[in-house]
Amino acid sequence: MALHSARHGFSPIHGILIGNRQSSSPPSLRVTDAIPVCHEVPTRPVVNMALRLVDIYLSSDNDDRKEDNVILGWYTANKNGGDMPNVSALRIVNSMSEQCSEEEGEEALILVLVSPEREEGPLCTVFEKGNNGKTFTQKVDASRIEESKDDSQQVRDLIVRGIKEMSNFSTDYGEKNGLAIYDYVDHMSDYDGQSKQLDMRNWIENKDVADFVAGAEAR
Amino acid sequence: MGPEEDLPTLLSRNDCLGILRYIRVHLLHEPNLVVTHGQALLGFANDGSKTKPSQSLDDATRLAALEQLCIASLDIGNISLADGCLGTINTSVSEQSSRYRKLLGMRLEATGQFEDAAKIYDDLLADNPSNGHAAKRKYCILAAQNGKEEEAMKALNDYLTNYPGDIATWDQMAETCLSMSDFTGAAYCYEEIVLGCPLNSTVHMKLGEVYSTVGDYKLARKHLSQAVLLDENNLRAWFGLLDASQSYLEEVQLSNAKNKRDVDEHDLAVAKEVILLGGDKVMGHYQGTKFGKLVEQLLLESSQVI
Repeated sequence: MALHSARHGFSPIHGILIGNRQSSSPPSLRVTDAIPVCHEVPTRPVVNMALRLVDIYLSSDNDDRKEDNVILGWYTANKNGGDMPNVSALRIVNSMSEQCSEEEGEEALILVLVSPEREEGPLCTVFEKGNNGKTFTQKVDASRIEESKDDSQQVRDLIVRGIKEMSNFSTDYGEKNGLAIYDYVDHMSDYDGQSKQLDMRNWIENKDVADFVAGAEAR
Repeated sequence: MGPEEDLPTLLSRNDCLGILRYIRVHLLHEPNLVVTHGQALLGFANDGSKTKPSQSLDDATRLAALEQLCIASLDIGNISLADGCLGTINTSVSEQSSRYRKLLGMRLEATGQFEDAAKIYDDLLADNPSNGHAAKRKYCILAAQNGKEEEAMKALNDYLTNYPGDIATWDQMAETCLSMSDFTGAAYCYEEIVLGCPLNSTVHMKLGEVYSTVGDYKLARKHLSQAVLLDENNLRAWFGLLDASQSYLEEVQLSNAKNKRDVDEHDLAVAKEVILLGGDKVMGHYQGTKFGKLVEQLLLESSQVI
């Protein structure tokens, strides 16, 4: 999420959170991945198609998994920082929540605000639907959040290394020189009619980023 | 630099002057490239201190490169380098130069000194009310701050009153409207841009997406269709067209169930045909790719509404 934000530092970013619902007591959500969607204010067709494609991907991918991954919510980073999510992200996650209620009964969703500009404190703030059931402006208390990485400095160092790797990369240069991260909009932008470009810009798996994180964690 | 050389060629030859010219002429936004090659060309270290330049330049070329490097440095947050460029520019131009003062204003903006920057731009506008650069920077000051979207829109409105043909500013206004979820306002802006760029597939695509977002699926289909007519490889427009047509058909089915509206049968038939045609076109691109099965399933779901 931080690399997606760094790649498009002058724009808001949006993406989908996936993971699984644990039937613990109380029930909990476990976020396992983030899929980048766009680096602009999202419109309805972009959000609809991205959600549908990810949903289909998860249905086919879950056959090999022990735990089913589902869409758990939305993430965003604001263009100009700030402590509350932007209006677009609130609108989208509210709409997702309404659709969830209609189709599957009430299922909890979350909205994560990524703040990579923060020098200390948590990089992510989690929001849930307020007690009035209206909008996702209620912060989830830190005591209810368990992070897989205890060392936030280690996460920050990883992000800085990732940004350095990314800074050599640009599709304008005709050749990939560094770490690439693609969102759904990147996947379709400047499509030259050559199908291999679609495979190269794999916005759902972003294998380069996954390998980079796995490699950095192994050290 | 030859007239046909592209950026990758210039980069492979490390032609610093050519790279800076190419980026300037093609209006690319590549601050990291400009800083790397500008420093080498003009002889600057990262902290703004002087080193040996890679070649000697005439005054006009050197000043243009210094201005470009200064702006790129501010873009990436290297204030020391920007100060080094400003100091060097100041040895050749008067402090009263409007271009120099604009750079000073941008330097103040970069460090958050918005009031001081605004004062410089106000002085520039007092000297020359038709100074479009200063008017735009006044908008940028507001756009850089949280919670000032309405003031930013007002500043853009004031600018567009004087410069109604400035397509780039209409685009900026559209983005500002979108950030406030004012999709009707964004549609108005994109309509103005379409008047100026009627053969631009991307603009029609954006306008179509905005209309789709507000629920006007007929206008959405009109502009998304135009987008794919202008560029048949505009995948985003194809997907948008599929989504708009499907949404329209679902809306009709819902209103039919409630006996709420008379339906244009021709419109219905067109929407169904668009889903079939669009599906074929999209699948043609994704066949054999890793996304092939996903897209196939998506199109199957879309066709079920027919």
